[in-house]
Amino acid sequence: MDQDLELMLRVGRGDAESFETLLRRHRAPLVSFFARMVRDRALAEDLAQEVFLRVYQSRKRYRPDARFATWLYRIATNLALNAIRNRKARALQCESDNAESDSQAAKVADAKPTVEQQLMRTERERIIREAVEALPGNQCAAVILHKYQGVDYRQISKVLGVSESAVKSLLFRAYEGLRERLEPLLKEGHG
Amino acid sequence: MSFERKCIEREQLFAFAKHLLGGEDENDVRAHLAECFECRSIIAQYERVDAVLDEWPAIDPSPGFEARVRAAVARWQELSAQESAALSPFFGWRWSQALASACLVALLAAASFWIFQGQRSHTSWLATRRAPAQAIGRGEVRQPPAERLEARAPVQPGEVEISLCQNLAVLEDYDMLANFDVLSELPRGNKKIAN
Repeated sequence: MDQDLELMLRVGRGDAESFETLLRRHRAPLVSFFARMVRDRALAEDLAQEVFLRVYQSRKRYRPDARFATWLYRIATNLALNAIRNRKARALQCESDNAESDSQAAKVADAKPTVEQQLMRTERERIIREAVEALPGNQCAAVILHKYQGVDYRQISKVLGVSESAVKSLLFRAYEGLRERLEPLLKEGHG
Repeated sequence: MSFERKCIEREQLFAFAKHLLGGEDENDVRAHLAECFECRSIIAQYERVDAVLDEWPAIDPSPGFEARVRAAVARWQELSAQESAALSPFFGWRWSQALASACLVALLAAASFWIFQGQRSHTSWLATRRAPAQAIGRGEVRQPPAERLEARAPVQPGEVEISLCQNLAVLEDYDMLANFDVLSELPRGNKKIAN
């Protein structure tokens, strides 16, 4: 049986330690998923916290119908897509969010590269973030789940509530869009 | 001739690049790629997109993240405990009130039924006295069939009194009185009544 699933069933029986284990196992991937989806670290952590809270709240109703990660990312994707919709609705707020997240991304960029290297890297990350963010919601979620979260196609289809062939089509269209938007970086890399 | 070769659709090439093809399809694409530069370059583009996407670093949660989640869970537990504590006496009172009301209604229904049944049996007894004198003479009054009484329309109180008055003449007849249930069941040794 899926280890996470077993842990979740134990949480349902009142085992607090199992919840801690689930939290430790999934906190980093979830925060990272949200950070890429919503481009705002603080919001990403809030949403990840909301996911864990919902997991805890539904511990007694949980039915092991699918893999735990699938269920977790279904909650996470719905929250992220809602957050993106809300943010798009607040167009003015969006500008300030972008500026803030850019500065946060600069803080996140680690190590001790030269200032020029750091600027270049920050600029490339900005282009990548904007290219991914420009994708429609489902395509964006599919790319992040596939590329960064390591979720397989079958799970992505369950998370997004579409068929596997639809997931392949979503990813193809997403990569076509990314290929165009990332062209400057692709040329540099190729050169 | 290379210009006569039909290139593979991009979606199929993407599926190949993402290892989504299998068996014969994969072999066909592989064979085509061996001799088609254009299709190889498309595959290379997808691979470069993946490489560029890898530059986007993961973001780790802040050090206080776990503590925040624990606090949120504890806060929720506290709130739900308060809510259930606040709601349980209300629901308990509501349930007991509903149960008491149901019992009261059942009691009233039973009492009404009992009273109605009593009135109905009394009315039935009076209704037997409405039978014609000839029928009384033949002794049919002694044991009136239940179904006949049931078939009759309910007798109104005023109607019963009128019927009794009409039958007074019949009651004066001694022979008729001899057949009257109450008198015939009296002990025979009682000389006062016999006389």
